[in-house]
Amino acid sequence: MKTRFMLTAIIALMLGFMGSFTMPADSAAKYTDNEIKTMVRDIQTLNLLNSLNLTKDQMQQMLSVAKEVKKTDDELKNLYDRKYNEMHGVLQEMRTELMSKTDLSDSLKKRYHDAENEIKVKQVEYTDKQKEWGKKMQSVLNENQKVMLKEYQPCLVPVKNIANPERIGQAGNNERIAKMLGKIRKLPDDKYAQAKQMFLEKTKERVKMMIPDDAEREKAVKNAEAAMDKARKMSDEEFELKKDELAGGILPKKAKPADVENNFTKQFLLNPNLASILEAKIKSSGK
Amino acid sequence: MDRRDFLKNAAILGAGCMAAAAVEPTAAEALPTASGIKEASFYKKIDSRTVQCKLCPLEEKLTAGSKSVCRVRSVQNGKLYVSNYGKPCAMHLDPVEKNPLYHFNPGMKSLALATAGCNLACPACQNWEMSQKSVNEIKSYDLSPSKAVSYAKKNECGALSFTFTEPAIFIEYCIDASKAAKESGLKSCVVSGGYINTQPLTVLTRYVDAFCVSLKGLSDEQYGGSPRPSVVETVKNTLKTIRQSGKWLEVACLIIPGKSDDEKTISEIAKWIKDNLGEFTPVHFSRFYPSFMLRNIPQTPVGVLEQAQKLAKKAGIKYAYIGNVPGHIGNNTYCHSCNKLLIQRVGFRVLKNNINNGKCQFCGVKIPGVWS
Repeated sequence: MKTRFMLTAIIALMLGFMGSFTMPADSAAKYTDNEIKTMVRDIQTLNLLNSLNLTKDQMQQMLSVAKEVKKTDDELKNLYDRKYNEMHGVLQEMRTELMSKTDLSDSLKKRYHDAENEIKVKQVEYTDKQKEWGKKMQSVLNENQKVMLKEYQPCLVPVKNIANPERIGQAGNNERIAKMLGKIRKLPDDKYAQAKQMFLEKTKERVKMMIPDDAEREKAVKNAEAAMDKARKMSDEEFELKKDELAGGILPKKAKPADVENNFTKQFLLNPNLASILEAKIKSSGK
Repeated sequence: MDRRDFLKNAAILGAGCMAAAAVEPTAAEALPTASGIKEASFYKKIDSRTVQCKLCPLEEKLTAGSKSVCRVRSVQNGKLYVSNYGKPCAMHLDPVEKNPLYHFNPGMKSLALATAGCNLACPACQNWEMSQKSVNEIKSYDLSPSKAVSYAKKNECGALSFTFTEPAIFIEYCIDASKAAKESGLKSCVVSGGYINTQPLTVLTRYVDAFCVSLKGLSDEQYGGSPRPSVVETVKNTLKTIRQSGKWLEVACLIIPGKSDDEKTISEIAKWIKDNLGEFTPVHFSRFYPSFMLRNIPQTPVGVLEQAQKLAKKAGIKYAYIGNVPGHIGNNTYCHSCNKLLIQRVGFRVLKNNINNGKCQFCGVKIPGVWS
């Protein structure tokens, strides 16, 4: 009875850890996908800024760049609005014309391409400006903040090392996975085989969403299996010493983008909403 | 025998029975488990039943059945025993930076050990689940000094660190494990609150290579206003004794909002350190996080720590650091002479080390610390 209860508890813990990946379809969504993405990006930007511990002076310097980003982004959005309206009108005319003819008039083709080109030119200009702003933003950061930017794990809930870092002189906490491994060590062999199978199935599902490469995915699942097997073979003392490392082996790491420094600079420090975020931060830092 | 005599004799007999029960407990009551028990090193026999612990200024007089404040000392057959010898409740593989020791073999991995118990009860203790417990109340491991050294070597550690709770109360284990470490070519470090008598401390300094001592303030109030004699004076004495021993010393100051964050206190601490321990003693101003009895106080604002660092430098401290703010530039070491970056730290990791043979690689000045 006790073993069955334990097995159920462990599986429940595992399922809790793995989470649910299926979302019910929202039939009447109040907010668009883009709006949700924007909010997510803003929160991830805030978590990054909080981890950087920017000084007021640094925030002021970044704010002047962020304002320029915002202004140019607004101009680009206005251009999109105008040009997409124009293109929509031209496309409607094209559709009507093609209903009665087999070819399009040159004026229609030209009007469409002109609108499209205007957008493309502005986009190229914007990309060039982004590089320049990115350099300016990075130049504001000190050597440690640049490392923090590169190592940032985009998150909604502030990660442990931002909100509550493992502190000087503090004994490491038992993480959830380490605790789970501790429980797994106590399972009899047959129950362990069942629990492991279930866990690995869930791990396979999880890594599908996190790791694009097939071989890397397979490797992550094998690492998880090896960590679980290893945990069971260790002495109490060895396990106490190695549990965090083993837990780290079980959790698949999300693949980071190439050129992570520039990528995260673009994604978070050139977020068009950064100016309003920084203004709020500067205001609250003065309190 | 009249009624009054009968009652008097009955009362004496009853009290005698209670006293006998109190002074003659079963071995199981007095001493928690067979392993972990060792005769204490620092105590004095008062009479056949009473001993006086000489480890810390509490100098408790203990008889069989009575409990020491530190929770790990008890009396049996007129001798004082510890119950935490070779019984760590925490074992971690941590860099020495976590102690914090920033000028002692940067990046060196150490086997960090702690047993249950403490002779202080600081209200901000972040390991109170261990420090305010006895060996019986939490899970402990069997780790003899030789086993500790063997685990440390197996896991590529360069040192043992005695930390998290109060190494003074497991001094017997500390000394034996440090001796074993030395024989195997490993270093040992102690992270302490510094509430210990001079004699045991002097013995400890013979075997330990580096110390980080916490100086929480210059008044006993910072230690919870507990009824312990002269805490601050003892800690100051500990710091001076370690400095005189020639062993490496760093000082940690926890900055608690509303308790120890005022400029006057910080400046006074910095001045005391400079005057008594020297300008090259590294000082760590650590960020407080709500814990134990101070959960109602918010974490220390980073700006306050930055100000503390500035005040310490102004007072003449050459190496003042900010702690518990991962990635903060105040974690780095800059040369006291040319101000160039010597050691870059993010979290407890060392990313760059520009010290060569104990000297700044830019200007060649000798950097205080243990670098080999």
